[in-house]
Amino acid sequence: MAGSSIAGMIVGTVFIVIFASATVTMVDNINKAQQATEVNLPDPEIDLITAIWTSNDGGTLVLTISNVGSETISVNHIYFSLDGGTPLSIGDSSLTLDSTGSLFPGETIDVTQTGVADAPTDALLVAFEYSSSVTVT
Amino acid sequence: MGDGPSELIMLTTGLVVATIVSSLLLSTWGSISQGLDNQGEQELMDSKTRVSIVNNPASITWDDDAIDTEVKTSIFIQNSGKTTLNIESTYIVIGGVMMTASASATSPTMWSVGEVIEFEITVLEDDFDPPDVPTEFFLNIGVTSESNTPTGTYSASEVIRLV
Repeated sequence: MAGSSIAGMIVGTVFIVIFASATVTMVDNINKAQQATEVNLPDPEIDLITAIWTSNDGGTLVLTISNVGSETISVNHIYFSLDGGTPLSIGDSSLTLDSTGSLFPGETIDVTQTGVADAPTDALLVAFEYSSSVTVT
Repeated sequence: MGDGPSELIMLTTGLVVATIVSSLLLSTWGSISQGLDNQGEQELMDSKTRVSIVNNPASITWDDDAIDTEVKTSIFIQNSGKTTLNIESTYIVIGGVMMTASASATSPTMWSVGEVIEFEITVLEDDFDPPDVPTEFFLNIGVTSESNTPTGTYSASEVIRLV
């Protein structure tokens, strides 16, 4: 009688350990599934404050750009286009900008493009899923 | 002592039944757990796969004069996710018509996070010929991740105006 009880307890304990282990594995997998909703995608907020065109030097356009978000972003990942034209990175070597390569939160920079012969009407700035546009003055 | 043999038979029977039931339960449990694991990895990869259009959607130039083999427009797409994307598997549909989209020679060869790829669009005029006046169309973009364990997918739809 005592031997049977002990054998039953041992077998029962083994089953409990096996099921506990399976439960822990399942909880881990459920947690992993929940991580999908916690992915932090790049979410910069870059505003185009002004776009001013002057006829100097064959047409000069100065864009004033400000990082109003909380993420630092490379200038190479910020693009602008004039009147729906071909987008150009503000990090392009043909432009002049007072930045060391990154735009930090709260920072405002000027980007200068020369050789813009005709005064554009509007300028659009795009960085990841954020965009901002102004009328060129 | 007289109960010894019957007790042993009942114990053995109970153990055999418990083992069979436990095996079935553990097998089912394992399948559910594996399914959750696979689904979680897939959703995680899909969440990291994302793109956004860089062109001004209000004004995308369409070259009506270009012949069928020439570039009619360029769509600039930025990797706005968290994983490197596969350039070759990208598809672009405008107005319900599948376009032939090729990365321009000046585009990066690796489509890492933040990078912009210029896709040059060609299409047969018989298949897609927008009017001469500015007209809105739906632009659909589909991309996949470079990683295939598992492969992340993303598709986006946006209204654009071809001018």
